[in-house]
Amino acid sequence: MTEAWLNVDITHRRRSFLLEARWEMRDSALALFGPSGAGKTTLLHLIAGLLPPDRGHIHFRGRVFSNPGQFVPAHRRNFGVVFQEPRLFPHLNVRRNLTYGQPSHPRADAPSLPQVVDSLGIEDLLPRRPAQLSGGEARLVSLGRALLSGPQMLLMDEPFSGVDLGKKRQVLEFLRTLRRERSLPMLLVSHSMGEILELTSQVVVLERGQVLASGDFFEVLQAPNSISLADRLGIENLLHVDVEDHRPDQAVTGRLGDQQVLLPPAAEAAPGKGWVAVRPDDIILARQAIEGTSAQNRLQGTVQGISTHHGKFLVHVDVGQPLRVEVTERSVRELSLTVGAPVFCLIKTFSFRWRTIP
Amino acid sequence: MFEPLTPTELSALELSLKVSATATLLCLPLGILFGWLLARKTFLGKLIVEALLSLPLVLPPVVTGYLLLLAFGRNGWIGRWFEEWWGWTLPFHWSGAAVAAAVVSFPLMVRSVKVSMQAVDPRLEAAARTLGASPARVFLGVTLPLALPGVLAGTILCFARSLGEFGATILFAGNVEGSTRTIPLAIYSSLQRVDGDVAAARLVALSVVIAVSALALHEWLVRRIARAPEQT
Repeated sequence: MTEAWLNVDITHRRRSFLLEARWEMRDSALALFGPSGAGKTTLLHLIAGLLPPDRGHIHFRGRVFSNPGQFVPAHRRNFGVVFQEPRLFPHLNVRRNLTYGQPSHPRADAPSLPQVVDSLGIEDLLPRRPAQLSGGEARLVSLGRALLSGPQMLLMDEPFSGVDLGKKRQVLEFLRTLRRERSLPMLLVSHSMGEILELTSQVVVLERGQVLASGDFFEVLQAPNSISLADRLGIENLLHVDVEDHRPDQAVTGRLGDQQVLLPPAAEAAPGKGWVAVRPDDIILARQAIEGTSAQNRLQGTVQGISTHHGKFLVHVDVGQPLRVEVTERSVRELSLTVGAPVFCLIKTFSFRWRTIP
Repeated sequence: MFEPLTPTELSALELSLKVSATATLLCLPLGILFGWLLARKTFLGKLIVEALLSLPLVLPPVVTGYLLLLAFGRNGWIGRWFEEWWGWTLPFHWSGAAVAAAVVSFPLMVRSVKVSMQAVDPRLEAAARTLGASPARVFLGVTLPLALPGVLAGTILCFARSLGEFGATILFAGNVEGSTRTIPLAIYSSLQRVDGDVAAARLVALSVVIAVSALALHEWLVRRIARAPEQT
């Protein structure tokens, strides 16, 4: 058995909110996933050493960081933290913010200031004051500052909110490189599964302070209680497809069980297997096989059940894999959607999005 | 009336500046320490400490001076030790005037520092800690610079209050020309004389000049901090 990167088993109470978490980080990247108010940020602060847990322990690579009667303070943990707010020092310019945590003798494999500045594309910001930055820019500087402190692990709390898509891709690529080439472990807090899957498929799912599930996201989703989990967390459908034909800049043909699907062009999708996502409200349900629509995909399935969640009706359809479709109450009545009813799911090619996993 | 300063006036001016500067230098480090403690720490008896520190602000200065005399006078329970160990007595010495001014002005310094440190976002300090900064480095590199305008305001306030100190000084340090007769005491002494009106007026004008200069200096420093050129 390999040693875990991070070993967490703690209890923390703040007034009526109780956080109980027990999990291990076995892969070099892990995401804490869950709706807001689930305790993700609190857990991150406990790991960072900004809060002492009421009970339990936190070990990092076999070293005790929190234990009864033992607490390593934040400044000795050497974790780079990217907080939800950028928290840049307003009295220092960007350059001095970036170098604030830089050790006087950085490790040989630590990224240098020019490397970080270049990878994040923030050269132009160096002389500016934090007050002169946009939210997304400030977030990038905050990430750069954490990276330059020579961390043994990177803790990131929603690091991409406000960062534009192009920048986000660039930064994700940089993070993947850091993970691969400098084996920098990272813990990501996010409520966006799409964002998480860009970095890792290892997740700890939190809700109301409790760990609902942990492990590989796709295994977690396919566990027996996974549909209710997915519903409660309001996440998109993920389908496992076999890629049949893949040519650059052309729609990809694939198979979902014995049904054919037409998927959007993908830069990285290699022949073999892949994951695609589709939102429950991007799917049209029909009782008959309707011809002559622009929806290229018509997946046949049967209704497995109907649930309501926050006033939404979700029809669970078995198309070989579980698929959730969001409909109105009126559709449920008019289409006589009942358990066992055969249905067709109409999905546009571009409603599918590729999920690449490193 | 607009003649150069007389030797008596010059002595009062020098003494006032010396006493106030000393009082401010005494207050500054202690004010930063207590302001930070009150802004950032919770400890047993915090309310009592806070009340005690504010006491000189609400007590009549004469009462403060009298209490100082009880404590630090020749026969006072602390003053006795001072004299025995160091042969040093505060009353009737300019250092006594400085201590009186410091005690009376201290609450202004502490309050100003406390308020400005409370305004520093603790999340910035937490961020600095995660970047490996020791508590001392967090304080010197983040908390103090961000609270600087308040610390500065407290310093000027403290200095100005020290310049104006009268009641505690006259009771504790006495009114001795050349050693404890600061400008306010000199004004009082002039007014005691039948022909002292002009002398008093000149001293009044002098204190106005000093007070306005202190305020101007404060304003200038605050603006300088606000647009400090960043060294890179």
